[in-house]
Amino acid sequence: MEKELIEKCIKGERAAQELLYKTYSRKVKGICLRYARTVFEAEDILQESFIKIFTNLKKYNYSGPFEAWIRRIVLNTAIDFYKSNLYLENQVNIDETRENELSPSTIADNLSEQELLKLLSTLPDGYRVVFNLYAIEGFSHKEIGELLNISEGTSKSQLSKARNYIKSLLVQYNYIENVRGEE
Amino acid sequence: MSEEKNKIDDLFRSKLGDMEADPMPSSWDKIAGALDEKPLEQQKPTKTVVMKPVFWYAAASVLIILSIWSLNRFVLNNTTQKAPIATTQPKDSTVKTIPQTQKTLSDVADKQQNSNKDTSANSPSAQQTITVAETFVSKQETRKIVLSDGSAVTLNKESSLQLSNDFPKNRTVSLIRGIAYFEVQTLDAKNPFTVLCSNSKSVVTGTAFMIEANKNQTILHVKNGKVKLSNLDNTSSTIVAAGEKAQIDGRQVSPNATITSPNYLSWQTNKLVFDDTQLETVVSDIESYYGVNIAIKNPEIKKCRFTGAFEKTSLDEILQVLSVSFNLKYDNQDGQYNMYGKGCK
Repeated sequence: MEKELIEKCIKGERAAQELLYKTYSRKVKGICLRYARTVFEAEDILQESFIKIFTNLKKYNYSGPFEAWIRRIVLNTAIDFYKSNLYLENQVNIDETRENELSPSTIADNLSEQELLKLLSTLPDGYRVVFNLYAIEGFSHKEIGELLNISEGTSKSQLSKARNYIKSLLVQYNYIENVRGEE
Repeated sequence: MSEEKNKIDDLFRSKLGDMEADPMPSSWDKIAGALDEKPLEQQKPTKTVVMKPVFWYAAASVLIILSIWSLNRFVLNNTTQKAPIATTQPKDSTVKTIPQTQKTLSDVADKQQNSNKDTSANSPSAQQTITVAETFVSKQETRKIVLSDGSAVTLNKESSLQLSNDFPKNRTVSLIRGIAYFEVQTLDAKNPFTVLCSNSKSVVTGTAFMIEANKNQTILHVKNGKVKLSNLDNTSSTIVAAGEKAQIDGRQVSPNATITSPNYLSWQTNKLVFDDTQLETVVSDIESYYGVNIAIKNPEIKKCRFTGAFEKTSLDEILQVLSVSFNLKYDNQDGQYNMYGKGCK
């Protein structure tokens, strides 16, 4: 079924393309929102991703799940979108970024999707991309290094800084109360 | 990796990992438009394929030179057989499998495209140039912009404002950073002018107001009319009337207060007005207008009261006027201004 749809899309049948778009666009938008600074940029990434998906569809070889193939294109598009900004905050000594301990109970778990997204969107581009790739997508530092063309160490330090940044925002927004006082 | 560190990761992964959201309604049309401009990449005939007939001709000619009658005949046959390959190659490369004019389910499409500032579609590299939202950025100068709905926005230095991609159909703008003064032209209950900031939403039922967008903080001054200011999850809001200000820190909306300083708009009007104003306030207004730091070295100076107005006056002139008025001295040490003197009792 999916194969049939994909083949119609490759032939350029607009109705098939629209169906494929409708099938995956909500998921793609979800991914884009996590990587983007604003909903407008998310929309840019979404559109660019789908154009790439359709123009490269014949390269899909059915060896893995189609959704994973789509996801990979979206990730690459999002990375490209912010690539020029990824290297600005690289020079970080990992030792300096040791994290404060945070006891599990202190994070409010009633944070909504929207609040978390808002939080993500305030991170510097480099932190946000690495955090997404590591914490949400589940890539290793080695893989992230290859994806972003940065060293493993840089990926680690970016992740660490991202977490600290998020933590400080959580404190600032009063989602974590009195980090030190609790333990 | 300690468990504590993973708490944050887990929180985001569990809430956002499988998140879905609706794309903007106009997105599909933009994608379809870009695909029309940039049809699926055709498989270009590879160089080796193109070269093949040439090779065959070459081989043939060598054989012809070496020819014996019968062999010669065979080779000629052979070349004429191969020749069609050469002519079929260009044919392959122009095969169009894409019905380019096929218009399908795009129903809402045309209406939206009219109102859009969609400049992307006609560029060959449409992929790179899709611009959805228009963004205005001011750097060293304040900048006045008249929007397509007739509303005027003055951006302070170092500010940036982004319009919704279907503005003015959807009159939402995002103040990404900095300070902006809005003069909203028309009131429309169905399509209210709305300003988004990092932590707030301001829905306008008024006509003139100023918003300062700081990180996780929004400060609103209303000059005319009313503005409803709320945090982004709509859990807290306040209606701010003319002559009032309000602010949101994080998600916390603080109570409205009366605007006491007439100079909150001085960056826009280039006027500084003081009416029996304590020098402490005078100095702080000057600091924010000129973007400088002025240290009052003797607390007694703060008690002095000043009345006067300046318009497009240089900082030094103002400081001289103050110095003469209250018998003060000032200097500038590496950009830091200092005020000295006995002050007022």
